[in-house]
Amino acid sequence: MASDKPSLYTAWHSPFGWRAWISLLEKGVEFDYHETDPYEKSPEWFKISPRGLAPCIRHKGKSVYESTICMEYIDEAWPCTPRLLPEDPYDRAYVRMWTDHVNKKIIPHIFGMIVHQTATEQEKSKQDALDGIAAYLEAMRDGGPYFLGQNFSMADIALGTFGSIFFCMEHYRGFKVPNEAKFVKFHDWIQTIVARKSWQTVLPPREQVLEDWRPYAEGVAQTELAKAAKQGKTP
Amino acid sequence: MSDPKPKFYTSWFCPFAQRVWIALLEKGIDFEYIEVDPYKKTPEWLSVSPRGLVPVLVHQGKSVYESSICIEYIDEEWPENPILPKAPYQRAYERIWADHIAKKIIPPFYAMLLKKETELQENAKKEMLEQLLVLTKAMDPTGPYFAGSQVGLVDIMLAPFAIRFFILKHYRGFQVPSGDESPFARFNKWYIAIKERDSTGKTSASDEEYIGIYKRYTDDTGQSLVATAIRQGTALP
Repeated sequence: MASDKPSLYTAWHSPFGWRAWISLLEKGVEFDYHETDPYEKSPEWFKISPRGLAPCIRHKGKSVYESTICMEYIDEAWPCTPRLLPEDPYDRAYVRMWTDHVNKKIIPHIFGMIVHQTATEQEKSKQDALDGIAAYLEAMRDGGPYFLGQNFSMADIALGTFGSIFFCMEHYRGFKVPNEAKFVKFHDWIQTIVARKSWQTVLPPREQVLEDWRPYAEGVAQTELAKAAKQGKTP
Repeated sequence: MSDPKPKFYTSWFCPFAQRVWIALLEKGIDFEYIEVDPYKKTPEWLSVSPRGLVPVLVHQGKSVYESSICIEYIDEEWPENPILPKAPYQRAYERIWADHIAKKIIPPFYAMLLKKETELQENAKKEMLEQLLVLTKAMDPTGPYFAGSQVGLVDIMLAPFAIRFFILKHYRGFQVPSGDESPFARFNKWYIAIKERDSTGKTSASDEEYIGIYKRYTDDTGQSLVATAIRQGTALP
């Protein structure tokens, strides 16, 4: 019998996975957590997640995957507060546009700076990431502390998951979001975000995060993620 | 100042913009059609469209861009004749398959035209058919549309590209297999239904116009961000 209690299939180290995990935690939904290695392409895994992607939510016998789609699904299946998208259609489009911006104009460069092995490529990725972050910060509404102003949303989760491990990009590539001018807002914002209980629950210890990213930084990771990241394509 | 009539910024040849045009027609929304040249990145254009791309919807002074986001905005702002279903899982299912189109079908569509090496063109054809088959298997068995008897998001996201498949045949000899016994029979049923819809006909140019405009992809003079991304092997904008 299909269960009303959702199951989250995800990998402990994946910021994409944290998006779905944080969304469930924020909503106070009871769920089963299944630690998953999406690179183990077993037939059982494809039965759960037809494209083999994690995170994947199983709910009432159905699978939902792709982290952004998971966040919208969680908001719609459990429409209690906090709403991950606001009520007004334009504001919803705004959150979606800037989530899309994070996915297309920031995240690929976060991966890029780590997986590229030449200094020139790394510096370009760092600059591109900063350009993407600057645009996101400029789109942030006044009032704070969140992207939409007073209200937390999917746009905060989209960047805040990766933003919470920027120490890792600093460690391997010297990447830093400046603490001045157009970047000033970033630091208050990420501190508020990371202090949320949901972030505190999902974030692994620093050393584990650094170890997890080491093969990518040293150019020895063979995963599809590494290959895709080299091409500027991320899931 | 109330401004109920949205402005739709588009280019006649753009399949991404055609998606939004189809959605506006399907919803019966009164809008202003504004033809732009997205290759001219003027300050005026960039103030309407920060990425400099079509399609853009401007409604009550605010811009919405990205074809799927425009469609969801249209669907939520004007709730009659819904494009997305109400139930959360059905909505997620539409978005999942729209995402599949974006990530697995659009790239080989362009690669087939842009790549100069025959081997790469053939790989793109193979990839396209594989991914179309995956999509076909996800379709409601009866249809004729993706989710059943009503047109929805996935239909609108795929239609402009499907109606351009004849261009792939013209330049690259690509064809979706036909016949009742073909694994693509369900896809072909979908295609016939979509091609017949008013919204498809009203938003499409002539075959000759399409053949002409796509020539620059095949002779490698295409300057769009899409063409550049395919040449560089990076993600589409």
